[in-house]
Amino acid sequence: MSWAEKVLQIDRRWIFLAIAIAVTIPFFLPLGLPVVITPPVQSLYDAVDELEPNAAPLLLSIDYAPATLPELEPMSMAILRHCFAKDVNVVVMTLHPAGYGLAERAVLNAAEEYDAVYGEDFAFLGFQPGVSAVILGMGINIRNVFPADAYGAPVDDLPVLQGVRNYDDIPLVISLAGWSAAEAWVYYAHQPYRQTVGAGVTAVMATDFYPYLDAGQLVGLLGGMRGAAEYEGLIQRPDQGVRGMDSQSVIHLLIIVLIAIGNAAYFISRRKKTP
Amino acid sequence: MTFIWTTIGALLTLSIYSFLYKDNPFYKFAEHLVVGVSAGYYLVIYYFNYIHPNVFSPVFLLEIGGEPIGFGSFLWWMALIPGLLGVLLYARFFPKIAWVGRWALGIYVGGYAGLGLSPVMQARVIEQLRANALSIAGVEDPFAAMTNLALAVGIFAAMIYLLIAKRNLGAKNPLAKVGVLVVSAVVAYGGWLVLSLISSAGVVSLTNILLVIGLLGTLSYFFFSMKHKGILGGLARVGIVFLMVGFGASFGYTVMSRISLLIGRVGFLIDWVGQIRGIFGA
Repeated sequence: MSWAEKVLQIDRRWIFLAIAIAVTIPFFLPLGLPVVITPPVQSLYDAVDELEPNAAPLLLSIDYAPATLPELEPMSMAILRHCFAKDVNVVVMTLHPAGYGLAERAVLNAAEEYDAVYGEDFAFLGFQPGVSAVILGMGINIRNVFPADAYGAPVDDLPVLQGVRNYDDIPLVISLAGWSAAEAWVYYAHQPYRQTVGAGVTAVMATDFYPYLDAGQLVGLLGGMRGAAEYEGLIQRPDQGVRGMDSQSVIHLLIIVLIAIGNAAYFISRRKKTP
Repeated sequence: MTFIWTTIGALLTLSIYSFLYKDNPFYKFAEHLVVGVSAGYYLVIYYFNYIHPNVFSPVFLLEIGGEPIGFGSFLWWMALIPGLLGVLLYARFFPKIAWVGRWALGIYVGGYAGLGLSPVMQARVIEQLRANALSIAGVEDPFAAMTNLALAVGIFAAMIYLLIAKRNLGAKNPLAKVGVLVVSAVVAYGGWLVLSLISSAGVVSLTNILLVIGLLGTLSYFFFSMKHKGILGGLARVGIVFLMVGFGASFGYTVMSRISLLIGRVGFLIDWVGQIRGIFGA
């Protein structure tokens, strides 16, 4: 049996082991590879950065579940930190039933870091089922959809939502989603109401969102852990995103090498078989 | 207390990853736990956020959001009727009356189609079409953009016309010859436009040109009503190249996405080990 045939018949568990080692090593020996800022991330950062302090709030829809936490939670933390650092008011909600606890955890942790006050600097509206109906309903009046916040306090009692009736009073909506919720914000908030929408999505979804970005339907886009790392770089607060990028780079290199070896072995073994 | 939950999470994570070696009871346990906990969690969340406030509370407790409503009032009926339609969906479990569930399903599908048709059509078709009406000069010039769009549509229409004419009328038919002339003229016009812009303005958006070529090529690839020969075949081959580039980008992003999940779990396990070392002072 030639080396090429041996390679093609290798037990795939060796590859799993190699991947595990390649992911783990950069945690102990950080490479410190630079994270270059891409235009979609810069656009979203600029859109948040241009919001006026202590004025109309940013609506952050944290629409992810635990399955996509490693990619999307760094984004939510980075955006919330950016807002609180600039005294931009934030209203957080979720369209995913499993997103309630994750959204609450993210906003409360970020608020604690910056001594943001609940009700004045931020609010958490909780979960509301019925994606399209919720987004469309908020375009008429937020109170129709969320009469009270997640803790039962009437929305009218929250200073951060005083004077906020619908999308006319919200300068920017950002959806962080591991499913089609971000698309729903484009369909039902941007199209009918011309609401400015930004998105942060998992890397596997990112290519589907570039057409919306190029068409101006999204103001900016964060794609996967790399998008989060770039945003962390822009706010100069490296965290989980930047921490994972060294592992990402090593793994991508390893996979490229494996693909090259696999292809070389395949073609060599095929050539030997054909007389 | 947090450490205990973290430890449980870490052990369940290791149980799930143990499947990579081979199937085992630890993996089975963790898998069933995830499914069971998820089902219970979603049931509770949907009941208290959906069924209770929108159906149970108004119909049986006669209140909406803490405000009292009258029995038999408009709001009461508006809560009861959708609730009954929801119950009808379960009729499919009884073969004799399964057809009743189609009423509810019909209203459900019709309602969402009505809600979504206009915005989705606009977002995915109209806006995307507009976004492809690009100026190849790379400037915000509506006239240039429309010219470009007309050029693109012209090439496509003429190409299809030519192929249909050749197939149905024969290559020597006068109409087919007209088709060849139209295609030649449009292609020549496009070439002249590109060359003039390169030479005079000196600023040509290569991205926009590539985008339009890619769009036409990809559309041609998915045009299955005719054999992929001649111009259509050439364009389809160009389309394959663009599709492969797109699939490659998707694959790269997919790898990044899956590895991100692994990185998240590995980071979690490393933090857990750090907590253990902290507790035992290692």
